[in-house]
Amino acid sequence: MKSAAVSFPLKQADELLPLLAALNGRLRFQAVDILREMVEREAAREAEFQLDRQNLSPELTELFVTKLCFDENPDARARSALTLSYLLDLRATPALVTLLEDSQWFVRLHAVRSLAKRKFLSQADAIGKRLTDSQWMVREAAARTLMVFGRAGLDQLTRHFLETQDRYSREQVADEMQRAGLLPTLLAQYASEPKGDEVEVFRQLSGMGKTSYLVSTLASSSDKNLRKKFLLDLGAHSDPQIRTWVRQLAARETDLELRTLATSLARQASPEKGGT
Amino acid sequence: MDWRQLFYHSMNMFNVVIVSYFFVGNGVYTLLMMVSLVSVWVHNRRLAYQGLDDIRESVITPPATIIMPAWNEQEIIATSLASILKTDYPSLEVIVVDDGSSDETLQRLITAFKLVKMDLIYRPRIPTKALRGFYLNPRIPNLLVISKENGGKPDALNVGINMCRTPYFCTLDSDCLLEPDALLRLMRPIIRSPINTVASGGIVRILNGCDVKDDRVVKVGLPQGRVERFQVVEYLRSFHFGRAGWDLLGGTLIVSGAFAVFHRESVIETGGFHLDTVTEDMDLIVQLHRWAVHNHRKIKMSFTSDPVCWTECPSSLSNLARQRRRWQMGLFQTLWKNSEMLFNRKFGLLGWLSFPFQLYIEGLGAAVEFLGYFMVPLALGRGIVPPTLFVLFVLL
Repeated sequence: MKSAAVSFPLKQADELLPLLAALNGRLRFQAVDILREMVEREAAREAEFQLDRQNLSPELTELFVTKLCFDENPDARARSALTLSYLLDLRATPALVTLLEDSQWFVRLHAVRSLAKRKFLSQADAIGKRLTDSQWMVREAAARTLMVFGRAGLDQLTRHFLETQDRYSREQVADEMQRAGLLPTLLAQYASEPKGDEVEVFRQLSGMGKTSYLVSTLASSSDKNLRKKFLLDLGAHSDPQIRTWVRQLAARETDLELRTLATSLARQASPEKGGT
Repeated sequence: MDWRQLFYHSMNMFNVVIVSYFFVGNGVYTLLMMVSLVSVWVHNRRLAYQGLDDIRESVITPPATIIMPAWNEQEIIATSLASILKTDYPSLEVIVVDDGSSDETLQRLITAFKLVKMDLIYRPRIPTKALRGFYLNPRIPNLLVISKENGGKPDALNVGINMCRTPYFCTLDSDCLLEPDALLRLMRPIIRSPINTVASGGIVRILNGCDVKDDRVVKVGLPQGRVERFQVVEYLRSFHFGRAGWDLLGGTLIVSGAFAVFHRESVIETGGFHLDTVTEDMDLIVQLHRWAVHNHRKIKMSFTSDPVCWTECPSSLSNLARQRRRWQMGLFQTLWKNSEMLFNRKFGLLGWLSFPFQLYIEGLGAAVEFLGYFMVPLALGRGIVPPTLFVLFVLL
């Protein structure tokens, strides 16, 4: 029945109004979920898809922004998030931000995933708070949502990593940064820009002993400028993996300037913790 | 008493053992068979009305992790893992634990899945041997490979449990093939049950003789060798009659670790897979029962008669003997270690039926049946057993 219902055009979604207002929470959930699939199908066809008066009735919009996002059934709340994210209504974004703080982790998860659109860039702070959520799926989704925002999202992620005073929180973010594959992007940014937070991120990661991914990315990079910059900034760090990489550069690097620099760093008897 | 009398007394005693063994064994198996018929019939009826789509699409379907320990599996590990990653389940993570392989198992995984070493958080709630590293590919976010020092299969599984981030995990042998929706089917009784289902087992079937295409069994067939054919029948009997029946009676003592789902927190509370028996899967089930009874927890174990996991069985007598020696030793180790359960009223049906059955029928089975081949004809020849009784016994 559900498969048949979702194949109807969105303009006929008003037929779901009685179900969306039903007393039975399970029925409301099914109706919200049907509508979510209808919206997803439409959104897949159009790049800049939005739900406005043309394709969704004011009654349905009202129901979503005033009732369904606060529904007592958490399944209904979770499934309403995606529809809210497409609504062209000023109340939709605050409703989504409220769902980010929901007591049920899967509601927070759906809210974070629904916010993965560049138009929600202004909500990066609220999403950043989910980086330390108690549920790993929400943390992971938050890191990936921030990445959708491009540079601004990445900045948010690094700022959170550097500013948090909680060791466990920092470890969690370091985990997510690695799992989401952010380090190559951070290294590329670091190589191309004179000043940024990236070097501090690398310094923190080195201090935490989390350099395997960093060093393997550096070792496989062909960007001479990147390696030189990293050598100058962190080449003297005491992290064993950085020391090994520096020694390997000193022994095998074909570029004379880099090899000389690496050799001088490798010879340093007692490396200075924290870099030069 | 002269030697003749001693001989006749011994033969009589043995005959009593044989007769009681067969009466108890066949009696319980007949009961299990009837119960299993009901169980399978009910299950099939439910299947007709409850599709898997609900579980696949529901937001409340709990995420699950497949933990696959691997030791010197360089030939099959990459194809096996590629097949596992295609498993039909929402929010699935796969953790492969390389248990200090001395061959190229880890290297082949790194190459095949373009993995890079990362430094992740490891908080060992169950003590394990030291880890060597974590390997991931950000493009395959649901795959994690862990390299550790060699410590045996239970230790590798414990590492997987420590790194598992989902409420349920599924143990899977690296030489097994899974049906695409097997995990969905195994999780269904867990999702449907209002009681904490701590273990959910499925059917393991023999791959020998089947046609496999793209890591999937496309045609079920019988193997050529007699040793393998006997095992096909034995597996079908064991899973369809034995385990389905014990499940309905509430007396499950064995869930095949080759393919089973467990509740992570409950397993951690029992200390994970113990290293002091060679059949860690049976031991874990018994530990979970003990933990539940001692801590007044209401738990459930479930057996589903349709999820299918395919595994290669030994094709030679020497390999079969080695496997069975291990199983028999593990059974005795587990029964000895948990002997407090025997006829203990706290454990109900487990202590009064399941545990004694495992001890008397499964534990002593090999010895009784082997000796029976010699002693019964001897007793018949010596006139200790009347021919009519012997014929009746064989017919029964």
